[in-house]
Amino acid sequence: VSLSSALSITTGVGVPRTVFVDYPLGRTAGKPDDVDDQYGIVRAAMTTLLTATAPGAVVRLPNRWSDDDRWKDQAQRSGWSVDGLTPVVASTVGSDDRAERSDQPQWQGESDRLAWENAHPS
Amino acid sequence: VTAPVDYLARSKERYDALGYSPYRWALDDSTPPFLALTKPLSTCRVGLVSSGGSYVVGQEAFHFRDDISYRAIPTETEPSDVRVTHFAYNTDDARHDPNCVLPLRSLRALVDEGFIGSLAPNALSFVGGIYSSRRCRDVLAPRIVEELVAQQCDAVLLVPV
Repeated sequence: VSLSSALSITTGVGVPRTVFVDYPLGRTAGKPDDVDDQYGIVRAAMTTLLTATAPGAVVRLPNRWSDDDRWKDQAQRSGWSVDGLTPVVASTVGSDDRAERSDQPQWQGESDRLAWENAHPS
Repeated sequence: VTAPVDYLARSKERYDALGYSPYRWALDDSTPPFLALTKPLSTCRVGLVSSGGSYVVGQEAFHFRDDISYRAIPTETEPSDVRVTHFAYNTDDARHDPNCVLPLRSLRALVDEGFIGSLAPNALSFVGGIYSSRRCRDVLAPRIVEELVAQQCDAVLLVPV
């Protein structure tokens, strides 16, 4: 069973069971620090293992990211990494705003880079 | 409630605007595979696979040039030891709370209450946005499947980002 916040992409590849969560990308398993929201989403996904009866079943959860859906307007018309939560900067429209491709590890922070180095002495 | 964001259409517009050739999304019109559970959910071992780019402190971070590697993340890992890196989505919330893309806390709660039987020893994470769907399908996906089979998973939760 797959969670998804990008319904057209997920159903396009043909997944046995899909649970659609209408949130900005990167929050598919629930809102940050919201234990109940996260739990409900994952429980709904597990429940489809019992309830779905046909291949390609899609369950749409009623969860809403916010009271209005303005984030979707931004997500639809803006760049890749802009998720509707960040104000669209005019200069990013029409440009590739994704991070530079690099084959070097992209650490979240210096401490995890050091932790890896310590675990892998050269 | 408004319609879902159509990221397929959005990507096409973005590629067109940049003068890129159209991205060929993986599309499969055939009927998806489907197997019903053959035993109670409360006895099933559940695996977790996420494309959110999660790794554990001490592991190597992902890189951003068609990285088809994955990390095995022990499902007992504390969220404070999980890191996230990805080039194509806003990772602010996932870095603050790794459960946004790697829902170990929710799955452990479902095990504790007996809703599902157990978790596979390791969750598996990679970075999505691999440009070659062929390499993803022919190299990465079989490795993931092999891991899940070795961990004797009865069901798997996928969290694409």
